[in-house]
Amino acid sequence: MIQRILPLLLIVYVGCAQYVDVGDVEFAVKVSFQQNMPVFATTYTVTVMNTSVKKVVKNYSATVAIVTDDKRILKQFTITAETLLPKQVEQITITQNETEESIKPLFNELEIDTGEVIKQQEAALVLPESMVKIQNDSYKSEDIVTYLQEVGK
Amino acid sequence: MKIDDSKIYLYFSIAVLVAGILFGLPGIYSRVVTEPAIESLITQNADANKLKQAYIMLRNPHIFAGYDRFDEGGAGIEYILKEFDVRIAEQKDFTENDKLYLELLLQRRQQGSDLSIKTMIFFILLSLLGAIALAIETNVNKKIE
Repeated sequence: MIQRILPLLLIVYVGCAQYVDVGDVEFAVKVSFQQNMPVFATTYTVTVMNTSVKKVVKNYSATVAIVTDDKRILKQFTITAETLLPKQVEQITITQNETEESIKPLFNELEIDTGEVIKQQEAALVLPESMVKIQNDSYKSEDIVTYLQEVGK
Repeated sequence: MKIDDSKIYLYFSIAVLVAGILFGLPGIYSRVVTEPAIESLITQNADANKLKQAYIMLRNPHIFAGYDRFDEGGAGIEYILKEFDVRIAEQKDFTENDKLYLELLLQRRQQGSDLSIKTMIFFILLSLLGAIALAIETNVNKKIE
């Protein structure tokens, strides 16, 4: 009986340890969009956050796609971040010069009137989460203590 | 006819005792080995390198003193970690003023050790309760025989 209880206790202990130890890396990505006039230079600001408290994220790269309700891709660009320390937030800015025609589908999706934007000379908004899709994200994660020991040498 | 419960009491006492020891080990190890080592690094005449080493040790908490979940009281800890992580990554030095923050982190670790040790004591008391029940059961069984 004891031989059965001891492995069971060990499994429970390791399970508890694992539960507390879980600190997987997640990312919160926000895309804000700014329309600067008179040229249609659109600035997309992507905020990447390492939500882990004990993992360092290295060589993060991902494709950010702005999609419609029916999953049609309106815009797509690649973002990269070299190192993200725990809880670190990095803003990546991408500026694209676009024609009125190429930006129109995005305006239509956001129900923004192009004429109004031209009058206002600027439009800025945070895109709804449903319109932002992260694809092909890849990164390496490293324990913070190992990282600090390496860097602090 | 009386059912013999002595085996149940015996297994309960052993299982709870083993669990208690497992829960207590991280706290005891931290209290005896790690915390004195960190305290010796955060001394009056500590240099930047010693303070950095103390921080790296504090950055590796034991299971009961993790930084994953921040309660209201520990919310400020997150900012300390962020600031010091960046400082080491950017090869900047620690100063005398940082001792206060390192002591806060140490305090959090000590609280975690307390929790670990108190959990162990609770489980040992439960085990003791099982042992008392076992003694009574054995006694009653002997009388019946």
